[in-house]
Amino acid sequence: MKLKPERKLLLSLKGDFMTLLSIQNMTKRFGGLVALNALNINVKEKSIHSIIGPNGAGKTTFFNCLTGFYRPEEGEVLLSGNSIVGLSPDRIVHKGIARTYQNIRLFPNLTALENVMVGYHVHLKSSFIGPILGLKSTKMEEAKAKQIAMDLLKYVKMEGKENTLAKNFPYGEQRRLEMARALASQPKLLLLDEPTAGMNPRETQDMMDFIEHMRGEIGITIVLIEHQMRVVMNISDIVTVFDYGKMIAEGLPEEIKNNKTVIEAYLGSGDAADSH
Amino acid sequence: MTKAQSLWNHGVKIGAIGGVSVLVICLIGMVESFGKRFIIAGYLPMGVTIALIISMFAAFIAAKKTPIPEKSIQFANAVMSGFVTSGLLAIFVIIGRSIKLRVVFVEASPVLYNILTGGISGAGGIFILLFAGLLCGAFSGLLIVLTDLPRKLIINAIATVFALGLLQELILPILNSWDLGVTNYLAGLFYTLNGLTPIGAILAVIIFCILYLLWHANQNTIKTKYSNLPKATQKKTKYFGLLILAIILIFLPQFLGLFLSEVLTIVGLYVLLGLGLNIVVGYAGLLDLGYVAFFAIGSYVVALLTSPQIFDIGLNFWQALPIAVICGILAGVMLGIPVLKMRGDYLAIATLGFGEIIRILVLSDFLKPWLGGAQGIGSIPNPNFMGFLMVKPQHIYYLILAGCILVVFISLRLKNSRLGRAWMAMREDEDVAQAMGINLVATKLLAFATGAGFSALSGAIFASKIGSVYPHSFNVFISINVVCIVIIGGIGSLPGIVVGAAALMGLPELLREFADYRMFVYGVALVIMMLLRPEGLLPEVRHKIELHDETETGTQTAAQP
Amino acid sequence: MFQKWKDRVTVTDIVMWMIGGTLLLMCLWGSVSTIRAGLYTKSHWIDFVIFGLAQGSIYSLIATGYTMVYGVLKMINFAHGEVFMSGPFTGYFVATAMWRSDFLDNHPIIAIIAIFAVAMLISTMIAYLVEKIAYRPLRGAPRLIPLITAIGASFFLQYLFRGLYGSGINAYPDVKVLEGFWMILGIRVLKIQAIVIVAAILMMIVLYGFIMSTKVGKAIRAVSEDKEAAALMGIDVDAMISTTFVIGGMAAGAAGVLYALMYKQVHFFMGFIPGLKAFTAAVLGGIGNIPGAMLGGVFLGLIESVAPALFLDGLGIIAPYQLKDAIAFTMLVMILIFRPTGILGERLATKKA
Repeated sequence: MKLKPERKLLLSLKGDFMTLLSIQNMTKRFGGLVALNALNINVKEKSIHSIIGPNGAGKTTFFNCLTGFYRPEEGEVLLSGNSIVGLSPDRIVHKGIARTYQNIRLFPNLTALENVMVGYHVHLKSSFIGPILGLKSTKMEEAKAKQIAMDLLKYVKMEGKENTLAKNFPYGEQRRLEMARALASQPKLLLLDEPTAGMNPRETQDMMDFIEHMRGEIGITIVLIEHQMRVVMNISDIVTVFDYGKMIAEGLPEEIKNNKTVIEAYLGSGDAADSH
Repeated sequence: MTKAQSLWNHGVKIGAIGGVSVLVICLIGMVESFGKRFIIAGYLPMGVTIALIISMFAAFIAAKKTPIPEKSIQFANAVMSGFVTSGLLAIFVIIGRSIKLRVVFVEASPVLYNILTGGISGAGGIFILLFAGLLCGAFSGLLIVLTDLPRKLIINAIATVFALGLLQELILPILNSWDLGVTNYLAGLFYTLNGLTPIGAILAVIIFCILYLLWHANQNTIKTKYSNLPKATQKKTKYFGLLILAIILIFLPQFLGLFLSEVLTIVGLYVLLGLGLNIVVGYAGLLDLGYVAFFAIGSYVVALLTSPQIFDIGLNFWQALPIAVICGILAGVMLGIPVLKMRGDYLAIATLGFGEIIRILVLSDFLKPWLGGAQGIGSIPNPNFMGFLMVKPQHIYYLILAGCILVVFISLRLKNSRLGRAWMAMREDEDVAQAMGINLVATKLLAFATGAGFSALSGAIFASKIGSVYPHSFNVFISINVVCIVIIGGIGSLPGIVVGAAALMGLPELLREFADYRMFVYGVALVIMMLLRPEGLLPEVRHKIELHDETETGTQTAAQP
Repeated sequence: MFQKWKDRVTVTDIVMWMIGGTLLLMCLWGSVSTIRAGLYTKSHWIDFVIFGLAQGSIYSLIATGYTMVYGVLKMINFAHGEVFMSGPFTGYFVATAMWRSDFLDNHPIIAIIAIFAVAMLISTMIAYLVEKIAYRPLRGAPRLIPLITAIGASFFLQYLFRGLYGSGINAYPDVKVLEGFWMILGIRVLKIQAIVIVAAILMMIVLYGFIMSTKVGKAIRAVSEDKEAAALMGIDVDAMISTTFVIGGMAAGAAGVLYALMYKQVHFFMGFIPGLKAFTAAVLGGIGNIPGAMLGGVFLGLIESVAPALFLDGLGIIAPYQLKDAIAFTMLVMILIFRPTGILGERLATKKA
């Protein structure tokens, strides 16, 4: 597989890029089950960082811990050097993390425009009095929010569909709308949970281009969970492999592809393979 | 499926369901107590009409559900269904005449049997009953066999006559109040003191048919003409419509007599309550069954501050009103904080419990020195508007109208704001809303507080209108009524709430016999609504936008290649 | 450090703890001053406890219905209180008919069994029909919709029975054998209360045994764990849901007769408050948990009977018994806040992202 030239810029784990997200010793337990076991991960600024692993390896749990939906029992999460562990999900959005969901979770009975505008919520200030009195500041703020939302819809190639209810879009457009909604909060870090799940090769290619484009154009850092190896190997700068809540490998896509531990995790141990 | 199977599955089974339904409304006494009120004077009592409509409806469904596309089979199923319905009733009458069912079923009286058999005793009456059932079935079968236009025409014409008969108490006083030659003539032509005249009914059908056919023929041209008008003119038409609405609303009490104005104020208070609950249930998706608590708080605050009883503070209504609303808002926050973390059904029960706690506390001897206990608080003065004492319901109406306009304005403004979007996002998916940076605690509290404030406003007006407050005015049924208004009218839809309040609160006031069956009918309506049309009678406008958009994009894509 | 703390503890947490703390302090203060003042003698307390046990065991029986339905459908069957009402309200007519013909006093056991049979049959039928007509078509709808349907069904049933049987309060006939009292271990116990407690315990044992050890019981438990997996194992999920309603209806009907025998009256609205209380009991024990519901019912009955005297009298509140319902509902709200999983809630409500 050939490397794209711009990737080389971001190739190195040791490179000069700042660490945006630093996870130290993060552990999450459900009763007796250790879902995440002492994870140490650093995500570099402007990188595309993939998390892979077999089913049940704890990838989505990892996202839920980052976004404050779960509270890890131990460990520290630093975003640009500030601790965010234990904050409520809405506070974490304010700090600059946004996410999408594995099984798309839009607001089905809101229009596309409203969905994206909800995403912009954290940057708006008006509350109760402003809209009732029709204050000028509120009106300007709303107009700006609408403009930004329209721009984002255009960016995800959904212009002209802003008044359609989210539940009426086809699958691919729902994915893109969810992406636009996440981008609307103008995050530093975007967490994508299987963005290509359920897509055909062509749609997958589009999504890959879109993700790369997003990193290039907006300069956002992306962490993604992915199952399709083609996607992972093509667009990631760094790949982290989970198995049973533990990090078993980390490195460049090429390194991961040939890593023995990773192959074992996916295909079972060598002994078992031999006996067949 | 063979023809015999279909006859059994659709004709007999659905007919039996219809029969049981009619039997139930007979046994709870609806047919009998509506027997004294006539749709068409001398011919058609309302109770019988309801029974006929149910059996026709069952037959209609039986025919419609028939999977065999042969008209004759559908017709046979309809007739069968009607026959089974009346057959069940016939069995009931025969049993009822030989055994004294009244020991158990209080409404199973000889009067009921006479109504069912057309007043004829013995086998002749049973025969009439069965024949009526067959006729109902045949009529529905005919409707199915007909093409679309005549079917719609007949159904709507029947509905019109039924509505005209039902709304006699509303229409007749208005006609009479004008006391002009024309209106008196119309009143005499259409109505007797109890029901439509036969000529009136026929006239109504004819007029309706003509209007309907005219509309049907020109519907498309009018619509295209309207959409071809320039945007500015369309806007003007809209404003003109609003202006007419405003004029009607302002002069409404002048047309209506004392009684109808009283009904109007009751409807208005419920509109106010409904609009408040709509924010909590419709926008924020939090089912609050303790909504009456804030209504009670608003009433009691006004009572305590203005009545000479108990504390004798002696504020006037206008001074007490804002305090009442603020107390309501505070109570909303107080209730909001503990129940914030609950979802869905837990929240419903917890708020129901909260409503009961408030009622029990107010009723208790423990708080009697401060709240008056079961005797309540009386002699609350009427509001005084710039030297004008608002005594009559017509005066209070304006107070309520002003309240409604304020609340509608606030609701609309909030709906399209950051807060409104946050509420709706929360309604759709709480977790995701939080992951979008919405502070659930603050957002829920604001919803509770806003709703509670509106409810307290309604309560404050209620207290000064009635002149006294008792704990018994604030039972759980008020909450349930408001929930029904919001849900049956259409969750989140403001016109839906007005229609819902008018139908659910206005009708029972007009038809006093209905009062006993009110909760029964609401219960049925809630269940049927949720099963068949969960979005309500007049759903939120966004559904229309959605359809509109779909057709637009559809034409675009069709035009592209 | 302060910043860190401020981000993580919300105002609502503090307010909630303050409310909880205040209530706890009030209860403690009230208890201490009640006991100090010696307002009640030992035999008073024993009476309270026995009455509470009897009342509580009725709640327990109703609560099992709530909890089982919650287990399989994850919804609150709001109409369960009306299922409870329908049985004894119908049974009333059987009871009065037998009382008139002196059958009730001559063959009390057969007569009472007949009342139970009729009441349980009607309650069961109503529970089954409610599920079939109102809830079954709504599987998979948003949660608010079945809840509203349940509220509608509840009022429909109340006013259906009001229309059918009349709106008055009907007095259950006296059963001579159930009057008077027994001395048990030197304690004077009203016969009816003892019978209610024993009968309820027996029924709960049968019910628990049925759920834990029969094939159908296991299937129901499987459905409440995971509907799809249960369906894949060849369990007819719809039939099991119906069975759950049937069992809940039977328990509610039996509870209703016990209630009617104890309070000697039935009317169309009698299901509303006990229904709410039983729901409270189910939450108290951890909703979805059958032994929890039983325990919660008894606990709630005890609190309701003892608390007004113990907590409120000492605080100088007049006529504290008027506030017993308020105590029960306050407890409901407090439990939902501080321990939504209930006393025996071993199943933590795990949220899924």
